[in-house]
Amino acid sequence: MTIEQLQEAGDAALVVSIGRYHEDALAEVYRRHAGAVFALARRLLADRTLAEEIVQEVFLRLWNNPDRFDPDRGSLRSYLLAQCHGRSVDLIRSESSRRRREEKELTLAAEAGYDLEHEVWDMAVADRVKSTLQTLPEGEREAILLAYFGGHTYREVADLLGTPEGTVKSRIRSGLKKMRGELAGIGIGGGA
Amino acid sequence: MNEHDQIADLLGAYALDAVDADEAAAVEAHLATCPRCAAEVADHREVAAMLAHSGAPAPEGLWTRISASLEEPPPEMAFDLPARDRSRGEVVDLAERRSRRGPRWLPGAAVAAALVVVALVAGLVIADDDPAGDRSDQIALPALEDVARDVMNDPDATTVMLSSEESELETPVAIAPDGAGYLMGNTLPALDDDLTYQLWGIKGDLIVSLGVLGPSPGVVAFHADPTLDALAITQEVAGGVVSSTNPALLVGEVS
Repeated sequence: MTIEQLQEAGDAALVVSIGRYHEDALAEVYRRHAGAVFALARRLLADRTLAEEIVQEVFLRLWNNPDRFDPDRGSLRSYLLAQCHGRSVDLIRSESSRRRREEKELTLAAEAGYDLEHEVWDMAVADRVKSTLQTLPEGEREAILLAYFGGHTYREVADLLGTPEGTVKSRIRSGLKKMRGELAGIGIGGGA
Repeated sequence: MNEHDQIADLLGAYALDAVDADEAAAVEAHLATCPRCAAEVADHREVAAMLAHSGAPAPEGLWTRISASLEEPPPEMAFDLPARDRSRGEVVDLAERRSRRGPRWLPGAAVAAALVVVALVAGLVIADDDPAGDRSDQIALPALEDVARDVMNDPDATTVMLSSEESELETPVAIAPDGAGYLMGNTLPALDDDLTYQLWGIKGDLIVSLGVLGPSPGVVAFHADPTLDALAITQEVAGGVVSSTNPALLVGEVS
């Protein structure tokens, strides 16, 4: 398979090639998605070296277990980002880093939502995604950003915002649903 | 609120990894049986992926490191295979077994070293027509038991009894002449969810994964060359490994 052909091949076909141990297929997936995976890990962990390790782990895992990606369940990009998010959050919640975070959060708790919201503007490069996020009620937007980019559980988000847990849980879900509907309505996010 | 609604209420938070471990486990168990909720989680993850979208390139040099680690000689396949007598049932002291280096538990099946996974990465598999190599599909359906039983009773099939040195545990395997293999995993005790059984095929110096069996395998289908020398089962972390460093729990010589 030539490089040109690989570039034209869909992500799902690339994963099939990875299943056959074609390293150039993994390289192409890396070229397509590693930037986003790295940016997410770096945002969550605020540590370049750790973020690089997460990227390496995510791509090695794809190499070793390509069959875990199910193209019927969504795009390769969202799969890789979900892997990255899960591993990053595991690290964040590990005991040693929890202590550091708790100290930091004592001073940041009040404006955590605000700061995170500003940070996300830098990385959410798609204007449409940004404006869709902006149309959400503030409570939904804050809950989603604190959970996703802050790596917090909904219970922690509830503590940070002084909002009941059940409310936060529902707001995350309804906010994501609204975004999905809005973005689909303007032709963004059709999946793989 | 019924149980379905309670779980459904968690789906948004679950998709963002924002639930506790016990809640995550409950959601995952539900998703396995509820396609509607599974689709909702997939949708939430697509939205999250769009939030995370960034055009920034990955750091320079990182691909080189990843690529190099694909090519590096992998960790040695240190199956601690038992030095057993060919007659079944002989008990070998575990401490004694571990003290031996490179036990020859089968004639001609020297414990493979780095060679093994180099071969895997290079795409070499046991004489096997499946281009995906060891990434065999595993199916566990009720009807599979009937198919498996037929193959077990087929005189042309290769049958192997995998057994343990340390317990009475036995697991029968049958491989049809066309390479369709069946493992009757019902005898294996259930493992924790973060662990899995993994099946390996041994031929000469090669040890190749034939499939990740899950923590409580029932009847499992796999594909293998019937001329294998031996089969082994190890216990690994969930998802399985490319190269095992764990001792074989059960082994069986293919006669």
